[in-house]
Amino acid sequence: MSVKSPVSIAPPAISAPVMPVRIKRELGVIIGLWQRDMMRFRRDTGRWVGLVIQPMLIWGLLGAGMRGSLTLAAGGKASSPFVFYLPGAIAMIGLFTSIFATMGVIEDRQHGFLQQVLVAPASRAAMIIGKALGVLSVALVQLVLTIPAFILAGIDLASVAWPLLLVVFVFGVLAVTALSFCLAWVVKTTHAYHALMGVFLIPLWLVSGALFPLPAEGFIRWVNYANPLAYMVDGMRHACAGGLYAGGAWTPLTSVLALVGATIVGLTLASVIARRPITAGGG
Amino acid sequence: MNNVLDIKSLSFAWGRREVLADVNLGVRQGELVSLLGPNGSGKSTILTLIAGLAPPWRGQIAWHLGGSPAAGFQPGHPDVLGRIGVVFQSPGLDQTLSARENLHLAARMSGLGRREARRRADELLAFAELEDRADERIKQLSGGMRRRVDLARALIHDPEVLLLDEPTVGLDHVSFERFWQRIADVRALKRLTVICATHRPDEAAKSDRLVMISGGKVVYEGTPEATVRGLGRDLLVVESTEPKPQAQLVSQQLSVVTRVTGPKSFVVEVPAESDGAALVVRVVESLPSGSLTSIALRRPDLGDAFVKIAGGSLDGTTAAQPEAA
Repeated sequence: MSVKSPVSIAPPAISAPVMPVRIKRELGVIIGLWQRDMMRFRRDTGRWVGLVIQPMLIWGLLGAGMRGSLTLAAGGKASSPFVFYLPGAIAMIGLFTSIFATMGVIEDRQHGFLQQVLVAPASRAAMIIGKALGVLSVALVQLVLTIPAFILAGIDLASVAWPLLLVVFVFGVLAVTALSFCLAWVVKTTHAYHALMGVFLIPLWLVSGALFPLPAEGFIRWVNYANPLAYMVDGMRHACAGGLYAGGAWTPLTSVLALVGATIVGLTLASVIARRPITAGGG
Repeated sequence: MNNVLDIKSLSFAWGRREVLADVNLGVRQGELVSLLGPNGSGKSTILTLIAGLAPPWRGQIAWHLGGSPAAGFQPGHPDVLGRIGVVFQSPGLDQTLSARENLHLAARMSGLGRREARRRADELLAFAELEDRADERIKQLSGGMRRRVDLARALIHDPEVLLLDEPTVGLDHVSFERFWQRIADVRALKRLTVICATHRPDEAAKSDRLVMISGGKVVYEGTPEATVRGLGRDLLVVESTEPKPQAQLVSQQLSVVTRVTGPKSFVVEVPAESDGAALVVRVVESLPSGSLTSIALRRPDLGDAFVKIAGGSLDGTTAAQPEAA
């Protein structure tokens, strides 16, 4: 057997300018993990697109079921249940995508891939950003798939504040992904993650204003001050109503700032948590 | 010769379970060191710690790679991670991607640009002799092929140090030999330092230096050749129905040293002045009728050395057993 060329490039030179090498490595992990998620998305498009179906089904059933029996003082065309429930359904798509993508962290750990990522010459923050960008890219594709729902709900696409909707969606997904990543890191099995999802993440969606207007005070209101999904739903409701949404819990700017803050805090927290050892001893 | 790695007074616990206690170890540049021990002995934990995947509980680990400060780099430092490659016990490959995609991904994560990553992936696919299977998903490849991809992945950034954690688990003999031939080929081209955690005596025999780990402690260091040579005598491996009483019986009747090595086996050390073949006959005659399953004469290996030095077997089937005579 002959060696063809296993050792042909020089090892990274320590004497080279430190910052560019470090930045290159950080970007390498970010781009590498994002590309991996894109490759997996292309391979398994049906599964990811399928994550749109359930929220859209819930949206359709809720809208149809509540039509005529529920009038929501939400300004403009938001009085239609289809309009009211649409932001919550889109938030659910972002939530589901984050949950299923970060569940992959547990599978990666079990299959050994995560260990390989951890010995890449970059920070844990780069790993988390790469993962979050992968989730976000998939979620954006899913967001595009929901555009027909806007038309079905009777929303004039020209009246939608798309930049606001996009910003709120992007930072909402990033914040929820960071949160989900933290949970995925500390639990050992996908079963445990499912349980956490059921008692923590899904309830956050339920109280976010997706199903009913946020109360002006009380326990749910307080919970939602720390619930990124609440800001996401409220911000998107503003965007869908084209600035005519009068019943919002917060202003659009408040929602955006809260989600940017939640994203920064979430990614930082995830970076800290990701420093915890992931293996529990072998030989 | 300078050490590339210095471990001093290293202790570590997973939760409340202490797995390493006061480990001291130095590894020289270009050296192939085997950490030999049974599952749970702490050898994989040593690799975990020196790769920076967990912080030491007590003690120090310092990497002395080119350009490092006098005290050395801490494990996990990006400049260290950029110079080490790791082959974990479980192949760290994405099963849903192809071999080429996995290598390309690893190259990008090592900081190589797109074009360079593609070139390196192609080079290492050739090295792994997998060009014709390069675009098949990992889950479609055999265990041996996956290991070749995994090794190629660990070499993608041309590391100075290679950490191998049970790299040949589950491989047949041919794949095992091919794996180690590849390591030898790379070492022939550059001064690659290799640290290999294993429970296989035949794997440890490939190393320049052997470090036996038992109960989280270093119990022996030496070259494989000197270690086996130190054992001296041939062994009779006896498989029988009741090894413990039968080993004692043989020991008493023939005045030889015996050692239980498994639930159905024991070994007899052939005394220096004895003829092994003649001893086979005497052992067969000394055992009760129907109790003997098989008997074989062989040279001692590192597994026997481990049993003798550490008191337990490498496959974990027996704990420390006192000599029967």
